Amino acid sequence: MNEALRCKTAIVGIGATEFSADSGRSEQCLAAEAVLAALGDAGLGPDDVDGIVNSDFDTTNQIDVINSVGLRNIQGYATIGHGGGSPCGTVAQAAMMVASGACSCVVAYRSLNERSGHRYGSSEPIASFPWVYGLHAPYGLIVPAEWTAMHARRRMIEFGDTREQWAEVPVAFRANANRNPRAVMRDKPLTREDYLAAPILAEPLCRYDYCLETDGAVAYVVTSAARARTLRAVPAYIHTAVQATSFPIWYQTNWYRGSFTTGSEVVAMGESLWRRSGLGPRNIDVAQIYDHFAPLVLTSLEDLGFCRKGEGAQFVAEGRIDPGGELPLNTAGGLLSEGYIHGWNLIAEGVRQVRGTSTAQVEDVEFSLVTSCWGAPTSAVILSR
Amino acid sequence: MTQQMPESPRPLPQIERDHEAWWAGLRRHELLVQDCPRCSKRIFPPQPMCPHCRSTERAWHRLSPRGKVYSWVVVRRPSHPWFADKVPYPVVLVEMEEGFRFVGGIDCAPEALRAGLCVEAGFEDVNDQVTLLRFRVAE
Repeated sequence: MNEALRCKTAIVGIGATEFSADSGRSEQCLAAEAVLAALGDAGLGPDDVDGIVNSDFDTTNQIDVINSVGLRNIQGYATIGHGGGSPCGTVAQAAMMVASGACSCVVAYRSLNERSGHRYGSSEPIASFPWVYGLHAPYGLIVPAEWTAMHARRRMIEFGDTREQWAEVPVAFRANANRNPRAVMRDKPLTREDYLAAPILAEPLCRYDYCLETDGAVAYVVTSAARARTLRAVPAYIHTAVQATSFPIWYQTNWYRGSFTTGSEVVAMGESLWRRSGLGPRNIDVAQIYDHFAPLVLTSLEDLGFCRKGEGAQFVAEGRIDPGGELPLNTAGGLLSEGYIHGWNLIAEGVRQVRGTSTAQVEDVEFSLVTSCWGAPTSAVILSR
Repeated sequence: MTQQMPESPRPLPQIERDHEAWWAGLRRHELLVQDCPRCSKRIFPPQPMCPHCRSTERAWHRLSPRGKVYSWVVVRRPSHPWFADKVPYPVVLVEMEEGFRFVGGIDCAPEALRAGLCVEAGFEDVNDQVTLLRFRVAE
């Protein structure tokens, strides 16, 4: 979305199911519950909704959500591409649908039984890119964690990163999760010692470098800024939402790109984000950085311009990413410790930080950043008060 | 849910039309990159159209087998049943001397791996259709 749409729309409702290892119900049921919860949070009902948006990796068809929730007035629908790259792109899409006048109230959802159903960490190929699997799976790089280990090792080679430095990220996010009653890891503390003692699964990564696998759903509601001001929740204005990719692009881990330690798609997304928002990294009060793997948080911070290339490990040290730090990150616990709803729970937390309702609330938040995944065509949103 | 299949075949590539020539090269024990006959740009992975000059004519260049270890992974917990009795196993990302990177297996103890280790492409014939890359430490 361009500058003309800045703050013309807002997220006015967020909803979620519980996050668990076994939801005990279908993804369709989870999606319907999250949608209804988001509408309830906004003080709206199913009849107010005239647009629906979701992610391409959703196995719950919009038709089934329409039929379950009883959405009787749908005038627009869109499914946004690229899995973990899609979440903030759905915000951009919903904002454009509302700001253009095509729709007045859009609900967006993501639902998955990622732990009890199909797991992205399983040995089955990802259906949407079978031939790519053939370039690394026959050698035993089967799952995203194993691909990412190659990137993490290269960080060690190029920048001298150590596991002691990487520990900062999962330990900080876990402390946030320990304050968050919704978090899967709310009752499980994590120390640096735990991290360093954990068995290595795909060297150099251990389990605490990996995101969780979670059952659950998240939904949110977007309407116009004018209408948002009449509703019950503090509006989280969609200041700027962008999608971007680079050329060439790949399917998460790009073995072939010029710099293996730079996410050229995140660099492109960051350039668009800062240009279109008129803001810069220094303006961001709190950020939810897509954390599928802990070392990729460092790479993402570099690629977005929060620090220079190769300095991510130093940047996250000394409490800088804690709630009272210079750049508090993933304040609900992130995908590493709150739950893995494919990046959508990061949007909900970005909204809470604007509302002032986070369990690790940062003081006086004006600009709250949320990003989607490193490695694929991606997206980001800046929410503002 | 992890599927405990009675037989767990090795994961193998699905060979699609646009990449057939590359896999055919491996079967001949040649490491190929696409070499655009119109603009001379080299491309990997293969594309049906040259993204630089948009030609759909295709030709291939045989790369030197020499390269250096650029990064590596040692898998200690198997995530696929076929690899269950092979852990810990190394997988390397090799930067070839002509400038492309490839993922492959390697005949090398995990602890001997280091960045810049000189290697050579070798080839493992799996079946009539599939030959895989297996690097070896250069003399």
